[in-house]
Amino acid sequence: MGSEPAIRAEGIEKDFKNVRALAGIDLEIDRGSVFGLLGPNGAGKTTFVRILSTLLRASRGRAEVAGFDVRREADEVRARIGLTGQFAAVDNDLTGRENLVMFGQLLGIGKTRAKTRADELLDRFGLTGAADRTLRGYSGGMRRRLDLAASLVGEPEIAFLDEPTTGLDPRSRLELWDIVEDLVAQGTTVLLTTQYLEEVDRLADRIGVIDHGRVIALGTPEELKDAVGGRVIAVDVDTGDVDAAVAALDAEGGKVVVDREAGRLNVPTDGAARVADVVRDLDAAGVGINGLELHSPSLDDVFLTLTGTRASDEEGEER
Amino acid sequence: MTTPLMRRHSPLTDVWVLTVRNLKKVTRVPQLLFFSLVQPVIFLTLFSQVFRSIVDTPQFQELYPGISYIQYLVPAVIVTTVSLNASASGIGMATDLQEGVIDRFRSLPMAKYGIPVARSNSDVIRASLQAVFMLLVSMVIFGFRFEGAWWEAILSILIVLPLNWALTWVFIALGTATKNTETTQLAGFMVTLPLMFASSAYVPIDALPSWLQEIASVNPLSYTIDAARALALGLPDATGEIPASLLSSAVLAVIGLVLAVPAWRRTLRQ
Repeated sequence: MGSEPAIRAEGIEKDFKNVRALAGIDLEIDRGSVFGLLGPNGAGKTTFVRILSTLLRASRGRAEVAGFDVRREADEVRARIGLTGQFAAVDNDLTGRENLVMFGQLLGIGKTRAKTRADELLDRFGLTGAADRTLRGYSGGMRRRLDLAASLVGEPEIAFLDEPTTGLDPRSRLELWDIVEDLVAQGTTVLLTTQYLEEVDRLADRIGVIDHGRVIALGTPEELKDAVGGRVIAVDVDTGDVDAAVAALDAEGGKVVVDREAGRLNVPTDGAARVADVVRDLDAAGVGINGLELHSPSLDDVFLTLTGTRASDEEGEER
Repeated sequence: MTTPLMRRHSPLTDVWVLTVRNLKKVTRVPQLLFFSLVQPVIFLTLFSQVFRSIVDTPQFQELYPGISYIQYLVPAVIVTTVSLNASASGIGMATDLQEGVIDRFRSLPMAKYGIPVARSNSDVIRASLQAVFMLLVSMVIFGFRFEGAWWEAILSILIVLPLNWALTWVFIALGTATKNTETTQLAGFMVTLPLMFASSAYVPIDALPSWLQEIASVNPLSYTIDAARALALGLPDATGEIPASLLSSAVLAVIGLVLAVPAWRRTLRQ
């Protein structure tokens, strides 16, 4: 197989009754890489992952995972993937160990091997102490870790992590990031979906930004951040002053992204030095500054830049 | 890259693993286990008191001369309670479908039909244990005694299992179609209550109002109740009741499977 991509999607579309969840996605993901799929709720991330992991059928288009067609060779695909969703797909009445052994047996690795594998994973995920408790006594973070462990029982070539950190506290999120980095070090291909830019920034080799069922930007984190403009100076002015402010700041040559309703201007910057320029220009134009902050681009900034609209929550997602 | 693990694929392994899992889950909810064992004791106590005067009617005297009401009642309560506990299959199915674990099963290279088959299996195993428990309670607390041959006694208990198995498929169809625990539970009552009472369980069919007699005579439970009772009480030609019981269970199984298989297929193919 060699250079064949881990995941290849061609024109994937999905319609739910009268909602178009995916409007044609083409994507190739290299083996051994981490691909971050970034988008707001309802963008189609989960739908896409469910199609690639054989849980959902595409309305149109085709996809290959690990070199196998997700529709015609679903079991071949299933033997080579691991899936962790936003909602832990584990059995709450069983213990952590029982869950892992059961999934191992259902993967067909045999009971003895499944037991060894369960011990390894419990140890690696810091769950050995809780191994023989039922999941009802687990915290949210522990359950999510076990869910991730369950998806790795079969030593998958490709791991789908669908919003693995949504709803987790910061500490659990950091632990999960470590685990993902471990996985990658072992050569696993990871497709990660998230709403957090900093997550893909930290973990992903390449990023796809998805909105309304389409990939609207594709590239490395650096390329994406360049598109947004690195760090951003956010200036709040009176809504009546927006035009004057834009005129004053355009002289700086950067592309200013404006949110008129909020009276906020996002000025891309290369370094903190430009804050002084912004203040001076606005002052010269007689625009009063209500607030000013320097921050790294957020998902919202990415969307404002790429689409001119906010990354708003929309209905129509999934499950 | 890690080398792929050795995989052997036997659907039977999948069914076995999932059956064990379902049975383990039963033991993890001790309250449920407790109430499912206490319930038949309550039923036996209540029914034996509420309906006891039926013994004095001419219909009863004619059909079961010299038989006490508790002797008449025990085989029927065992058959109804044990067979209708198949409704737990529907609830188990709906619970699985409501929770995320079904997604993991679906993402594994396993036999997908193993999920409902294991559900049915585990509930039949549970039903057998419950039948034995109820029998012991009836003998110890209520003084029930078999009056026929030893093999008739064994058959009188075994005969409930095909009926229970058939009913698990009816309820699996229900739970799979609704995918909702509460709905399955409510809809389940609407199936089980008429089956329980419009039958020969508590009073002889001849003593029922005529419109109920017609329902009771097509109720598959009636045939198995009659067979279990005849075998347990050593009535003449008790074995003659067995074919009707098995046939009615088979018909019910066909109905259940015809409903369950497409419902499950729809669930798999979203």
